[in-house]
Amino acid sequence: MSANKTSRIGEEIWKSVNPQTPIITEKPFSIYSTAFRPRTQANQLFPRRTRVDKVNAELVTLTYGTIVAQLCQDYDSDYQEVNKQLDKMGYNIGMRLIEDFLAKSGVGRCANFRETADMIAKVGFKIFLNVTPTVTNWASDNNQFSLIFEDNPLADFVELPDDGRAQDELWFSNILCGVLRGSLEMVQMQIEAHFVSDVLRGDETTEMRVSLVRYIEDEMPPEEE
Amino acid sequence: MVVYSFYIFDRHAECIYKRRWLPRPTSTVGKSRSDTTSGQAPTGLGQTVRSTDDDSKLVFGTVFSLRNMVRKLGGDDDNFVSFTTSQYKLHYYETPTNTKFVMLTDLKSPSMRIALQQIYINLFVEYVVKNPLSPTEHPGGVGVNNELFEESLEQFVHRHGHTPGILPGYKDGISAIKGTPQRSRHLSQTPVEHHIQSGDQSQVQQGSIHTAFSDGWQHSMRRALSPRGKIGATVGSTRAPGTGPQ
Repeated sequence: MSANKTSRIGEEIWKSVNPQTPIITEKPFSIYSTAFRPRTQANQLFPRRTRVDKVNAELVTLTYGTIVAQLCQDYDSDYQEVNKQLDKMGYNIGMRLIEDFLAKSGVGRCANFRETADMIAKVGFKIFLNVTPTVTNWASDNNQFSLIFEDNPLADFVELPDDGRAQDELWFSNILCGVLRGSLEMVQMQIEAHFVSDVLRGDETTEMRVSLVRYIEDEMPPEEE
Repeated sequence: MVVYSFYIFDRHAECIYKRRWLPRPTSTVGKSRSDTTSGQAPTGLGQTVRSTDDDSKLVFGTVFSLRNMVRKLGGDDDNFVSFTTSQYKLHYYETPTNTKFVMLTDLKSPSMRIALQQIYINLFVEYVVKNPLSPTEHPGGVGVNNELFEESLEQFVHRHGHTPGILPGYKDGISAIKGTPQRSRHLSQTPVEHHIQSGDQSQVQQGSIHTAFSDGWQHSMRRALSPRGKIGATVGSTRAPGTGPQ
């Protein structure tokens, strides 16, 4: 269904962000780490600038599915706990991902939370998952919005376990909540994110609710003795 | 162009990387401290023992205060680019995640803002942030311990036509270090030049920011504005210049 979905990831966006970047095609590998990247002299100095990394969409889907399945097994189908773990993993990913995002996109700080929401949906998700969720359902104080995912590459091929509980308890893509929480924390925004509906559970849409808790103040160095 | 030192501070105001270059064996030491007379030896009076740790705190305090002042005057999007004393130029770059990059060079150096940004994009993010096994936070001053990053930084500095150098404030340390066969490279974890004495009073007056920062910003500012050490800051918008490749 999405054979080359992620193989397109990021391409258009890079071209538009940085038209000078020559797109040199290289072997696709490594969504995230530099660990598998050949470290030649040449790409040691400017390892990433000159190309777009691609990765097969199924690999992402299957890898993520395996993680969730393993968590379900490890926690004995305690889905609350699985949700929590996924969120935690996402948080750790987000804290790193945001640096990659900033380095690649070169965007500065957003002026307000509405701008942030658009940036997340139209640039962030576009770059990393090549989907563009819809930003909607703003709360009147502009501190809460929903992301509606029409297309969720993490959940391709997925059917929730038929044990009568997963349908009600497991948020399969909960890692995304963590990613948002981690990455926004790095840019001085404490947020809370959770899914409110998921097509996997038979809902009409996949919807994530994101609310701004507060802006984090600059940290001061500890006082000297 | 001479580069003296380089620091990275994370969002918790922690110095996660520091690097001070020492002159290479056949180096341009003389150029960077032309005012030095060889006869000056540590007097033993009024000496302050200063380590690289103290330096990084000093530098952080300065850029932190300067940044806040600049934002107060110029709006939230404003940021300072560099400041100049009679002895060195401090270049500053800050990412939206509040990671701060600071480089000290000589006065002739052009703006290093883009270079610092390149270091962030191409070296820091690639080798430090994306290394899955390195921690995201560096509590307790453990800091970046990453060979690839250090090597690339070294190459980067050389590629930009910079020679490592040493600030006049450290000249007393040179005689101790000069004789040793050590190359210019010292990892941040093993600062060999740890307890360098900053010299006599006349020396202290030349650079502008020399005292421990616990004295507060006003103190260093007063010092900075004193006739002996003049300070001139270049202020510009934070909106990053092009991030294109070389």
